[in-house]
Amino acid sequence: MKTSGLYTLLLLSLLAFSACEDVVDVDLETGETLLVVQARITDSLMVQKVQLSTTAAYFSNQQTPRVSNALVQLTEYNENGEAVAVYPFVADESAPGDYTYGPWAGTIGYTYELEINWNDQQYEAITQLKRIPDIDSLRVFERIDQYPFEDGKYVQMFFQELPGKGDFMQLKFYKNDTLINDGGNLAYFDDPLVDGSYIGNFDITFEPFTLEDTVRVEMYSITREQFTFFNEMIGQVNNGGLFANPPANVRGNIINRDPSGPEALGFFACTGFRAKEIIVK
Amino acid sequence: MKKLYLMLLLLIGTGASLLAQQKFTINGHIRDKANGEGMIGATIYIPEISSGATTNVYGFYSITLPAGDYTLVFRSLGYVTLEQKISLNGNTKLEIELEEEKSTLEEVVVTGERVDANVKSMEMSVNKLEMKTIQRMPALLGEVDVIRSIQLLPGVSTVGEGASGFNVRGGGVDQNLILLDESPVYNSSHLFGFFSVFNPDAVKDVKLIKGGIPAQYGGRLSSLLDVRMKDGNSKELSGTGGVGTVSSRLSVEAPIIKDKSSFILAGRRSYADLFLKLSPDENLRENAAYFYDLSAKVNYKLNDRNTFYLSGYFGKDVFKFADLFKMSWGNYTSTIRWNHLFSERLFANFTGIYSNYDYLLGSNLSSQGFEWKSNIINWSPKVDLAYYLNTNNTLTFGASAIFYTFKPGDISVTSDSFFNAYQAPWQYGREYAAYVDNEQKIGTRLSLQYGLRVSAFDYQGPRTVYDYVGVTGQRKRPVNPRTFEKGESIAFYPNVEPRISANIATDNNSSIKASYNRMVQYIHLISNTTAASPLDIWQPSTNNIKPERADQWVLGYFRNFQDNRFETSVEGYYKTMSNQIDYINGAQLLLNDSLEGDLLYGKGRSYGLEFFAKKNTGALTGWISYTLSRSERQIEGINQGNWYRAKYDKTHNLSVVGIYELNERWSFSGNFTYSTGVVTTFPNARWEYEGITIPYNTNDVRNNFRVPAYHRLDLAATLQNKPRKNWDSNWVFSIYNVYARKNAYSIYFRQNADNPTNTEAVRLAILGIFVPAVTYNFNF
Repeated sequence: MKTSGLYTLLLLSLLAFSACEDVVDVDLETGETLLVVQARITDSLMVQKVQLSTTAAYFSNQQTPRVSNALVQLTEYNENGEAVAVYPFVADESAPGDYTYGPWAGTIGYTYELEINWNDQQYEAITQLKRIPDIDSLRVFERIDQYPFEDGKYVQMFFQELPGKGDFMQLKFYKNDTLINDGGNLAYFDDPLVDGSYIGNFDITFEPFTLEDTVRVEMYSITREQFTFFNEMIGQVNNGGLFANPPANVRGNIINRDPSGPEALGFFACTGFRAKEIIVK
Repeated sequence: MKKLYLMLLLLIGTGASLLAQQKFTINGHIRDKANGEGMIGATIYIPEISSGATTNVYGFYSITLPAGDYTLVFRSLGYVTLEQKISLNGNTKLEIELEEEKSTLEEVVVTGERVDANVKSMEMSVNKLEMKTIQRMPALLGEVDVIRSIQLLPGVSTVGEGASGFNVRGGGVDQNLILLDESPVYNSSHLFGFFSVFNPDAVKDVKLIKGGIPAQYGGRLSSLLDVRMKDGNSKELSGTGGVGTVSSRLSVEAPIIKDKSSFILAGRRSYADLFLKLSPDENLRENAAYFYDLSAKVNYKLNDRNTFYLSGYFGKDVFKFADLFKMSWGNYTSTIRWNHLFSERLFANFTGIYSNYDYLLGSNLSSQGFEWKSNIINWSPKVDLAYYLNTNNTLTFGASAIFYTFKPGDISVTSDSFFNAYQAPWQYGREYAAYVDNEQKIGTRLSLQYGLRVSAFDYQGPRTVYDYVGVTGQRKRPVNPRTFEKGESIAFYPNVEPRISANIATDNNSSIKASYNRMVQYIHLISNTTAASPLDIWQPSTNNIKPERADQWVLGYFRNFQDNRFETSVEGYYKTMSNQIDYINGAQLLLNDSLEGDLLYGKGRSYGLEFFAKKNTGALTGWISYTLSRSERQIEGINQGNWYRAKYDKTHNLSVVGIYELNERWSFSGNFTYSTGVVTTFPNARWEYEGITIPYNTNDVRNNFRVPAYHRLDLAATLQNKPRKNWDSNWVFSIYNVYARKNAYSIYFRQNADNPTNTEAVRLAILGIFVPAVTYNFNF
């Protein structure tokens, strides 16, 4: 029930009408360099990672520069708001820009504060690790002669949406370890229209898999802020068509402690994490 | 009532002279001889007093003069002028029928002096388009289109090909009041914005008022598009129709009781999907994409003093992709009107209106079945009176109320769906207005129109409302809930809207006109996409959303040349707007009970110069329109609080329209349009998040670039077939976008699909090809 999805459908029906796209040359200026944070701490026991990079010229056409000379630490607060631990993240020599800690697992309901010192600036981000339901099961489901579905094997997922509004989830689907819903095809939802429902027979794709494909579904609990962040991001990366959003900057949750200092982009997320795998037979 | 007249008379200061002299009234209607249609804006000129009158939208006129001998010259463009001499010694009813000119090729000799509307009338910033002209202009896929034709007028623009609606003098698409027989139309488009909802065969008259808006009209900031439906042929059975590339249409009109009652029924349907139905692939038949509309009107003339009109419109667009997805939207409007003559000089019209715009979205997939409906419904009683005081004063006054129900989203689900049924709380509002307006001639050179409209909006319960706190530019939190009962007033906004226009005749062929008007708008289209989408919702003013307000000043010079063969005008306008709505980044506009927390408010200003030259007669007719303009917004939370150009800001906008009648059989037409490209925001940086490259502008600016200019040429040729008994027909061949320019609708930025580290700028052209079409039209 995401509105941008609806616009995509609108757009599809429109494309049938005409519309043509071509790549054109435009001259762009290059803005100042800003810090970019990408972090996704989970409640699973694993090596947790924070990745730092910077912005680059829009047409630089290579990976953006990584930042490896920063200080990164994470403070954990319990439900009562008391600091319970501080985890120093260490720069990973083999992967510039990556800072790691662990194996270690976050706790659902706890609040986490990320602090980054870089270029004489102090950045911070605070978020909470939200509850998450289990994925009950995945199943392979064969469709024959069910227009508009192609004949073939499909994977459906089953889970109980947790009763009580305010849950936000992200789903990632992998086929043989390759992310299917990559780029701007994020799958995420809020719960006003599915609150407490048993989500069953939910097709993870509209295209069939082939036999022996390994299909993995990952579910992440996200915050309302991350839901909004995704909305903004999706609005900007899928920005073609008749019903495009006005181009605007995507805001994350990283704050410079000095409001007059350079801003930082990106998102610090703490998520519940569940996964299930199935082989298409 | 009597007291009111007296007061008004004293107000205008003409009461005394009225009593001193014996005066009589001539009144009646001017109608088309062929079909009995009342003629709008036809003129009555009386050389003896160098003055005259104009018919109203029902074809009615009334003139009060001292006893004496007069010549009355009845005239309307494209009709043979009629002269009648009368000796006025009592109230006189004069029902006039004018005959259409055989061909505009023949220069018609007119005796007496021409009444010259462009220069002489009070109206400024007004464009009228004859349906005959609209029908001859080249049209996309041959679909004769009122809204697209309007976009070729000065001061009118669009954000792009296929975008619904139109923008007037730097205003949003929701700032135009579109009235179809006085009923508001909330979405003027079929197939997103490619075609407009009006069936050309059922439309009698189209008038766009951009400035100097009389006190009678209100409720939107930028313009009034007044579309009047035909009444129906009161003389004989007749019909028109056509078979086109996209749709076919048929209309039938006929008297029910000759000269007393008649009707028109007009329908149109697109039929691309009917071919789908013939497809051998059963599955394809499950898809649908079509639109249709139906217009109907009946009138009944009870006697000389009472006429009734009942009109209705129903249009729908339907899309369906098997069981996966369905969508539809449509307008329904109906109007009942009663024209009543209280006296020879007091004309009244009572109107009842019902209008409903709805859309539906849904899926029939078993586990995810749902139907989401949204409506805006309004009921409205209205009364408008015109008091034809004397040749120097025409007083109009009236009152109206609009009862609104907004249903942002009612969701129903199938039994095995994992979606929950849901109903976004409905919203209720009432809009009231009363006005008085006088058109006054002072001497031979000066005329004035001045009026006052008092309007108010009452936002009503039942509803729980909130205040919103937080950082401007980011999502705000609802606090301080307050619950209101049904009918209880949550917020009440009264407004006074002064309107004044002046016309100073500089000589017989030219005049200077000036006007000021304040407009207030109480309902707002919540739309944050480049083109308004059919899924956008309308939102009333609330305790948080204040009514939009605009003040507009216009100054113009009007001059006709060569015995009125050429009409020209130059107008300059300056408009300020307050309480303009914009959106935070990532605003969630649908099914959001805390929508007000995602809105931003600010002000706007627009100014421009409009040049217009029109040729009305001869073998070659048409116009040239050029607009130089600027439209800007200043909204806290956007562009760092600085002024930025609105998305419909177009510096230059040029249109040339020509229609050439070669002979009785062939006529040709062409449009050329050029406009500055739309504004957009270009990034100056990129950043990466989980494999996604996102554009960024480190200066946080809005609309810092323009896409390349838009220009397009369309051509059409009409071949009139040899007339047969009771059957006239023609072929229209048209080409849209003759030189197939790939006009940029937008330029946007994306990751390359094959190489995700690369990024590219993409130009989207909605119709980057030339589009030929053939239409067959007939009359019987």
